[in-house]
Amino acid sequence: MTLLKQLITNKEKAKELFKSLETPLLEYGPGIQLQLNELDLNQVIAKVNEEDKIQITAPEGVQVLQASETNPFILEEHFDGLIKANENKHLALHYTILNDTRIIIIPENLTARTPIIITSNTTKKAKAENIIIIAEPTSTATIIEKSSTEKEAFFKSKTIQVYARDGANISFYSVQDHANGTYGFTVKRGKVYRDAKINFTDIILGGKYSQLHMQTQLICPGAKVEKKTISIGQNNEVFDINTESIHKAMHTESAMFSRSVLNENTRTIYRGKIKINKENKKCIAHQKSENLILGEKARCDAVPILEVKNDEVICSHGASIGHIDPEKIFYLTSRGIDEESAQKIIIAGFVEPIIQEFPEGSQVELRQRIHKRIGHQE
Amino acid sequence: MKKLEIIDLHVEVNGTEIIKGVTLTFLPGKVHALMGPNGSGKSTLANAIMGHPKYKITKGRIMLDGKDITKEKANVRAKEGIFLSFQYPAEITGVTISNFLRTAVNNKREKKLSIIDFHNLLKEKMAELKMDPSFNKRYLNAGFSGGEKKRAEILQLAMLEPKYALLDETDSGLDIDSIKIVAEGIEKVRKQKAMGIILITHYQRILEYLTPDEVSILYKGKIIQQGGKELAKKIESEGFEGIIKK
Repeated sequence: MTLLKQLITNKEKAKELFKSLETPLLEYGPGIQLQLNELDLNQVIAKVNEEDKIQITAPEGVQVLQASETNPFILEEHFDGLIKANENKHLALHYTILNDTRIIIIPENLTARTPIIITSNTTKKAKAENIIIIAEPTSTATIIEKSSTEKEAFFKSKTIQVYARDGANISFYSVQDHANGTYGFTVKRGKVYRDAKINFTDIILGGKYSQLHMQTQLICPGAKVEKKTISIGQNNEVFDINTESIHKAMHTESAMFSRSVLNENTRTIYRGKIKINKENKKCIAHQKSENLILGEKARCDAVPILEVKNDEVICSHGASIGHIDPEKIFYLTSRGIDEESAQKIIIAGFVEPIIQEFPEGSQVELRQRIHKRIGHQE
Repeated sequence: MKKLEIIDLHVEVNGTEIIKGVTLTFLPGKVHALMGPNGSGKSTLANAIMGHPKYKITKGRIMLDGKDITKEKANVRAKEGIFLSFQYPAEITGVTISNFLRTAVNNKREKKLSIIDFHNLLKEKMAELKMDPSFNKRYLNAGFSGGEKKRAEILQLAMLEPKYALLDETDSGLDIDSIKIVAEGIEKVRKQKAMGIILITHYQRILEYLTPDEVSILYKGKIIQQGGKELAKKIESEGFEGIIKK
């Protein structure tokens, strides 16, 4: 079967799945009914505008391919390999309208000198994107991915799959800055091989509904993953963050760290899961979720889950949900700063460690954007 | 006349009266030592003067240079020239000393300092307090040792140049060399800016560097004795017990 046919067949299957699958009601916390059936499929399954396409700039040596240019063998191995259309209704919809796939290959031993920059702005009603990153053995790269939408955008979905082969080292930074009418879905999956490492850092700034589901499989000894996430919500925005580290080999390490700022009527659901089987000893896994509630009607649920089947591991988990410590506010006001500004300084400080994680060249712009969002003036 | 006055002040914390009618006057350029055993209400008094919302003034007034500030919020009092050096300052992660102080200093000034002028000023004050220049990049009080916290408090005092400074146990947790450096930093502002000092302390040590013009003893929420620097010496030899018994 030719590649094109294969893709079309997949789409038809996905469309059937989308129609047959139940609309999900989130299990944890404040249930939210997603209005995905509102989409007129005939209208949204269309060719993507040039301006809405994923834009990628990559340093020398890094290969960037579109699905149609890709060697079918690579695709067979990777495309739809981890994330499947039948997993849920949103993914069925994703694969129904998917029409922008990029594959980035970082060749063996290459150390990318500058970051790979991926941007996409959505001006139409719906958009689905698929990005596959293959980091060949002992390659190193930094990726900065920015996603934005205009007010017309209703549905934006991304599947991102990262393969870090033996000894590869990938830092993947994402900034999601959607307009307030957008339902945003991001599914990130990582596969980490022997002595390889992936760092995922996610900043989620907005959208009507923002879902980030991340799952990382540590499949060989020495594999490591670190995931840091921060969400800053306003108005009635809803964030659903679900992150999972699956230790499939001995001597693997994972760390998950999330923070959220909840203004006004924001809702956040955080779920973090560490999974270690009986035979995979000597693993290290940590997770921590810290949530700052500012709005009187804001709500937060933090659910850390440990599924650890053996004793020879080092694991920790913790979750906190709270308001700003009044002693901190008093301290700042005692220096002449009014209460509202003091609060903003503290929120900016809460977010700052995640900004510091980003490559230096991108910090200033990011900080400005975030400070604007929280209304903090320096 | 310029002075900070507290008149018949009564202060409640969580419904319990801690300060039970205290009247004191603090003068510009003078050092007023406020002493007393643990639990006598010294920190409560300092927090109430600074305007901590948890410390409720149920009776009495606070007058700053003739202006009634009893009902003002902490930030207004700070702008009017009151400063509190905290015994246990809050840790503000993600906010560097440098950024925080620039906000605080410019907030107080009518004409804002340029970034360069600010950094030069900060560098100068840090050098006077023998602080490492890289210290300004650290997050405010986060992970600081006891001594570092106290030094950071005095750095803020030196940058903000208040009219009256409440120093709550600024000497505790400092070694003898650090006490000297910190006391010199405070003295400099006192001399140059005629800053009034309200020095809350248990110990004699810091009084060797900051000579009190007046000493008041607070006990169970009331002033039980007042005098000059000889009173502080008497406490050192007799302890608070000897004074309280009389």
